[in-house]
Amino acid sequence: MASFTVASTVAVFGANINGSRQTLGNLQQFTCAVTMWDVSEWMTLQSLATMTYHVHAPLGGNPVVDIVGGAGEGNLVIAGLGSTTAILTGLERNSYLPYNRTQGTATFLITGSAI
Amino acid sequence: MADYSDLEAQTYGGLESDTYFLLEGAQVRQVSLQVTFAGVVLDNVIQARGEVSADSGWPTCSVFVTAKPPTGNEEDDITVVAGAGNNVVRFTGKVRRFRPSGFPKSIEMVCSGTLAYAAEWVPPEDILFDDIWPSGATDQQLVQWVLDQVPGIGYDASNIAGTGTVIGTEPLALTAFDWKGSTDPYQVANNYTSGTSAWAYIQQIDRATLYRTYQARDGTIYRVQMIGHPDNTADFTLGPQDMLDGASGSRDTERTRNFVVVLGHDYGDGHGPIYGTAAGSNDFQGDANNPSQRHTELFQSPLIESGLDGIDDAWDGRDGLRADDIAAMILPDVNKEFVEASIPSWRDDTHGPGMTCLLDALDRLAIGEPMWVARHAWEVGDNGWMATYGLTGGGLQQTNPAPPV
Repeated sequence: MASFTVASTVAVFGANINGSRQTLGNLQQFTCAVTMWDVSEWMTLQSLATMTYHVHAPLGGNPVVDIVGGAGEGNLVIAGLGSTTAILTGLERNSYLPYNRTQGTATFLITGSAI
Repeated sequence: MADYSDLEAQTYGGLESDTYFLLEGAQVRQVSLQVTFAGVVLDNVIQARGEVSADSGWPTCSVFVTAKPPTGNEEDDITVVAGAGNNVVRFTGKVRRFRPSGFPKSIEMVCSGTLAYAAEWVPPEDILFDDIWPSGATDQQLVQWVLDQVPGIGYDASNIAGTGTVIGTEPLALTAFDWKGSTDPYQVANNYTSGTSAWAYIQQIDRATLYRTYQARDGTIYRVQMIGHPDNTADFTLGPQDMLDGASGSRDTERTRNFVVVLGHDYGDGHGPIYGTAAGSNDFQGDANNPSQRHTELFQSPLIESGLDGIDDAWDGRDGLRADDIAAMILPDVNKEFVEASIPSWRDDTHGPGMTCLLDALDRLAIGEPMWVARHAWEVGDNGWMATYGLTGGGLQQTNPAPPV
């Protein structure tokens, strides 16, 4: 299980190793394969997305992330992997399973310690 | 043999010791942009950008919106509050122009500070200096008087500083202080002229006194001594951790001069303009007290009433600004290595012209010294917040405390 929390809104979802991947950049990008057991879980996670942002990469020192539009930074906890802070920058679902279940991917830009 | 038990169980146990990513994280900021036009907060702003420069006099700003606001027109008030945490007034002034773009559909609202009105206002007829100021006036009195003439400009007299020297007292120099209007009432025939704008008149006074009149981001008009070398105490520091791609610098001695000649008013006595000089020295041009080693900077203003006589080289004893004083003030500005830099930065501090910045970038830009902020530009939009600092420096540091920004 995993959760992403911004302010008082908590989105809970299943995180799977199959389909998850990490990409190195100025900040770590973490794409997580997710499973939702109910439509409401998808809607909650969607409400925490940050679609407009910009990463400044100074010539020295740490990157600076400007949130222009969206929910902003939150706490990402993935059981068995760790926890950090991140912004949710992408969300897609590519198949529907019976009983309102959904599988898809959530892309996080890790703003805290890399996981 | 590889152990794939993690995959089978769909857990991440093996990744907990992952050492591929050694990143330390980032600073996260919430960008804010609020534009109020004609008393209404706009809800369709795409982006905004602005600039305050000591050289241009008044702040400028462009606000991009998706459609023309239903309320408000040219010359209405506009205020921009923006930042990425430090959300302060970045611009206050007037909308001067709407510039629509067909595709993608947007309208640029082009704005400027109210001091721009001074560049558009000319007296209806010539103003003879001694009619208004029979005993002369200080330069700050003159600048305030000029600002008083222009509709739509407000200022606080305590912000208009100056040399305190009474100028315009020499009867034979008074014509240099007259203010040309759009008509000459003393001419019988067609007497229309373009005249001298209030801004041009202020610039003549500023030039002679080495002061600058300018308008800050919040609309306040200042007149301060702002010359091209920094204060000896830095107000803030910029280092590589603050700088973004595109930062550049320059060091040159092409403009270096070790001798300054200031030419003042020409009294028409056949001796030429009164003058003053200042001599310095540097390592590669030598000592300007030796005429063969002089590299000369020439400065001229007819408002400088006192100096050395052009023939007998003796001080004329007149009142007003002295050419040799002005020359001594200009010398440190030119007898130096010229250092300049343009620094894009993510920082959203409340900075502006006249401040002193320690540019701590010896490794990347070959500059590690205090510099003077001549220009502060900013933009906010889809690419977050970014500021660009125009810095200039070089030579000996002076004591010129920064004006408010």
